Amino acid sequence: MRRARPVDAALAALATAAALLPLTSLFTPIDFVRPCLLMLLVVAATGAAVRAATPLRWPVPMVQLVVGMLVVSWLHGRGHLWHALPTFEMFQGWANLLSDALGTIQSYSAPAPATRGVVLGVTLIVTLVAVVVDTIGVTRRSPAAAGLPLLTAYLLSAANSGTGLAIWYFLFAAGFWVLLVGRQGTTAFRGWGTPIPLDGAERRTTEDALALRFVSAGRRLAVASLALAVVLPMVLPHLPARFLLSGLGRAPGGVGVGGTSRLNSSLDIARSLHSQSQGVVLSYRSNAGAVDPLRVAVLTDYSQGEWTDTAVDPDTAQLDNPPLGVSAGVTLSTAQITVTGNRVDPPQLAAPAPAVAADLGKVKWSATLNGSIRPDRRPDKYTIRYVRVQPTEQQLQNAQTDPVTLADSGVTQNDLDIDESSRPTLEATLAKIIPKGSSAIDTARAIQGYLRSAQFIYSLTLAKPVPADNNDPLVSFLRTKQGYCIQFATAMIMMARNRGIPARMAIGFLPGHLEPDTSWTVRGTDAHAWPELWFPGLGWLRFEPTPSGRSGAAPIYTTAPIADGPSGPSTTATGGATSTPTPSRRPIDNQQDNPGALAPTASAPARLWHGISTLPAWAWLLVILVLGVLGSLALPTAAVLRRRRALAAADDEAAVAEAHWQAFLRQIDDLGVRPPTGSTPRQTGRFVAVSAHLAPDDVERMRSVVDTIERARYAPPGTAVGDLAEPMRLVVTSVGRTRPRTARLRAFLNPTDGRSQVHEAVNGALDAPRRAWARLRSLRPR
Amino acid sequence: MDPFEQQIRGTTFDAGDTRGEPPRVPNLDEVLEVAARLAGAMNSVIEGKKGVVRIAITVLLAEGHLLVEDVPGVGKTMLAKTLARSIDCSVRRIQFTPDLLPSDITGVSVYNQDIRSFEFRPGAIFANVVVGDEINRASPKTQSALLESMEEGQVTVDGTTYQLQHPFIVMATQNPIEMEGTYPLPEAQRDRFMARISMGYPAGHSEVDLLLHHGGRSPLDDLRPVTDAATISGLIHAVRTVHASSSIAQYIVDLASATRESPALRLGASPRAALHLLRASRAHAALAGRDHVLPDDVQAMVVPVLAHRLHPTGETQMARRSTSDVLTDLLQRVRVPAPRS
Repeated sequence: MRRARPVDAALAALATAAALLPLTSLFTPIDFVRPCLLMLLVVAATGAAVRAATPLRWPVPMVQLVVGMLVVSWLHGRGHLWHALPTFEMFQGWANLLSDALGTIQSYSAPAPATRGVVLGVTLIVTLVAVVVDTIGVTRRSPAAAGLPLLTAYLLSAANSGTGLAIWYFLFAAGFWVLLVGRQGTTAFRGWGTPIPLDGAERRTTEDALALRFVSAGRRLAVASLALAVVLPMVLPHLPARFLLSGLGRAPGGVGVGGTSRLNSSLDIARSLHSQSQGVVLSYRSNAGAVDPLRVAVLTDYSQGEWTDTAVDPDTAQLDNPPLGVSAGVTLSTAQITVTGNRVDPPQLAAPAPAVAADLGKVKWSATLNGSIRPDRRPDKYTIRYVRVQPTEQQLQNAQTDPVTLADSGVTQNDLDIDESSRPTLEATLAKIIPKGSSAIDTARAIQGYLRSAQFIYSLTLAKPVPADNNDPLVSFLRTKQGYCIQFATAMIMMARNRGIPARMAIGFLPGHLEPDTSWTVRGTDAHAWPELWFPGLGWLRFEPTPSGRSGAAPIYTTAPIADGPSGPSTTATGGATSTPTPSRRPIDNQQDNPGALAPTASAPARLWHGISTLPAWAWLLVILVLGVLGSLALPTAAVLRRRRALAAADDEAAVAEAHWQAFLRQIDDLGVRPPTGSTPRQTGRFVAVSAHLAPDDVERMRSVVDTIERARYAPPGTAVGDLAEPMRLVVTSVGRTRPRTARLRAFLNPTDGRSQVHEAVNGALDAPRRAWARLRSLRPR
Repeated sequence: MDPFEQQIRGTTFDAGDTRGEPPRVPNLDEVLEVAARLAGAMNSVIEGKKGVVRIAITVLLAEGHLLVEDVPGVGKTMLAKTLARSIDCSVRRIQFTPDLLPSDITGVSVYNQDIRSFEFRPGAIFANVVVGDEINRASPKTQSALLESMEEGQVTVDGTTYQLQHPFIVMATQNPIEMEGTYPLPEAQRDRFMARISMGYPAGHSEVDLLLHHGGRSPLDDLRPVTDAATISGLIHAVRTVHASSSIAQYIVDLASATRESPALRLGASPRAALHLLRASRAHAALAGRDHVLPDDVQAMVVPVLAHRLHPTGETQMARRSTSDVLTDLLQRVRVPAPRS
């Protein structure tokens, strides 16, 4: 019965159930709970029964899996069974159901409907997790390690639920796990004990002292961890979630590497997590030095914090060249990209905007009014030619929107709609950053500069909504100043619309990552959203309000006025690479337009953290490497310091020899040569010589070391002692040579002397207040 | 090679050289030399028992008394007699029997008709070397008479105190206490012996030699003294000059207190035991040719000096662990103290 451990099994099952509890928030209705509980029961009971029957460990999970499989097939395979045994046909059915479930999960946001496939999938997952937890935590009796699968299960289910979970979800899971750990710890501890009660008067033996030391060490560790757990989250600001959660949970291309992807054509700006798939979406080569984001779709309609693609664009057969709304006098440079390995599903296609020509091979396509290309099926390879609008400052300043010109330009009233609930906040914000009546381009630049300033923090996690904001996510964003591209783009669009500039939402991908072979790779994580603003005569211009850490530099016209006329040999529609006009003047006082400039309101730590969190990966690696090297040298340095200090404190020859000898003992101890506790110096020397297989030379040196320390310690005062530093050093080196490399490295990196030095320093620091207090008290007049 | 052993090898058996030398405090080299001669002489009689002989000489030089304990017939008395005879000094042998009286040992005042007064007749104790054979066969009363004189170095009879000779060593043999017809020595009296040694059976080849060579006449008959009482007295003084540092004293105290705290022992080592251990260690160091004591000397003497004074608990006895085993364990556990700076 003791081996069966039914209580532990029950605790493990409860912990599993609690860890998977967030699943109930993912699917509706929650019909799957009953079969899951049944499976937990089956796994726990089977485990206990098999453990009771055999002392072997390996059959336990096997039997659990087989029995679990059988029970699941009775639950979900009715009609496909042969004498209550699963058939091949049943597994085929399951495969279909599971692929259905995958489709459900990908196409619905939480809570998704609990279809039969979902119920089957959840049941199987629960069974698997239960077996893993039971095997690690109960059968193999390592409940602490069982925390890992529990945490994984919890994170997977919790990360997929769209909203934050209430704290008790976690408390339940963690609580049962702690109970499991505690119970096994107590059981094991009792196993060591003796049935004879200790008499209070009994002397404390060394074993008791040892146990007490363990207890106090454990207590200190627990207090320190608790303090850390409380203090760390308070001290550390919110780091971007993608460092930890990258790839977990939802993704439009959630099937991972190799799958296809499609960006949702509706965006919910109140949702925290964002496309996080590491899967490659496409790769391309560009003939231009600088590359532009690839647009996939354009959204115009926004309400209640959600962008939808309701406007039906009349399809045309070809793309406009020059693009819609661009008048004749504007400088355009043409660039071309060739996409290979395209995994974007039709009817979407990633292309830089505005595209003027497309070659999709044999795939038929049409163009929408807003410039998107809609292929019939997915082309593997395609080529897009697109233009970059390079307006002069004069053209920009002249491009004032007026209602008359709007009508025949393809711009609709939808491009100017604003949610009424957010209007007051928008107007208040705008009033702060740009006076009414400024030119359209100045307004746009001011908005972009404001959003790119350090007041705003790029984060995949949204701040907690303030109830006073009427649950309007845009208002909430403007207040909390924390969000990702969709919030930034939405804010810019709404502010621009508020000032009468037509604006729309473009979604697509950032240029991606430059590979060594000069091609660019775009991954699911590169999904991005940005605003496009309408300027008469210039068409739809891309702006970039998302902070540069994520989005890179903003287009040149959006940041600073440029000189009249192109300054380079750029020509219209050359088909070659573009040249970037260099700004010839830049107003000094125009700080807010500068994306790099920091608004004075941003707090210093926020700036610092912003700077740190935007460091490139290699810089992080370098910093970690340098810190690691420095950190690993701390103990050796402390050890050298300690030995030096001991030598300096020695006032006569004997004391010097003693200090050397003590250092010698600790050094060979670090190397794993440990003479018995009661060894005399002579016995120690003999032990070292034998256990390290010293060569005759070294044996002689060892003997001289021992002779010296014996003289130092025991000879009558006045005897000449001699120096043992040099032979000692040589012996230590020889002993090290006989040890494995890892042992030597460990002895170097983690010397006892270093540890004691650090320990003393820490204890001294901890004790300092008490000593200071004691000194104060002693100073007080009596 | 141990200097002592070297010295033994280089010594030719030559009796009578030291006779007539003036008493003085010799230096430690001389200690080594004389002791080696002594050991050489004894080894020629007691074959294959170098360790036992060495401890016996150590005890002699440390001015202690020796208890030889073993089953009958392994040469206990032979050892005592050999040592006594190697030294040119007064030797008395007492055969302890249950009817032996204290006055037989200490002496008695008898009335002399000629001078009409009491006259002191010295007992067997008045000698340099006293061999007490089968000491645990005597009644406790008689035992204590011997042991008192051992500690004090003097005897008081009828109110008059008589000094014993110097050097004075009692070498007592006893059978293990389980043997029939014995009165076990009380703890207090065992404590007076500096060391207890056990002869043990001779090794195989030694026993064959013993049968072949000692079949006819006793080798003891050929033994002539190699030194005299005055020299030994000087050596004893010389051994007292061996330096014992404070950390050695600390080590001995640590060991003693470890025996007092050990859960395996009912009775630990007394301060007198610690004192004896230090003296024995000094002699051991001198025999090794050193002018200072090492912890190794202490360790070598711990079992002979302490084992017979300790009393194991019932549990230890049940586990068939002797006090020597307990002491060996303690030696492994008690740290050799570093000098305090």
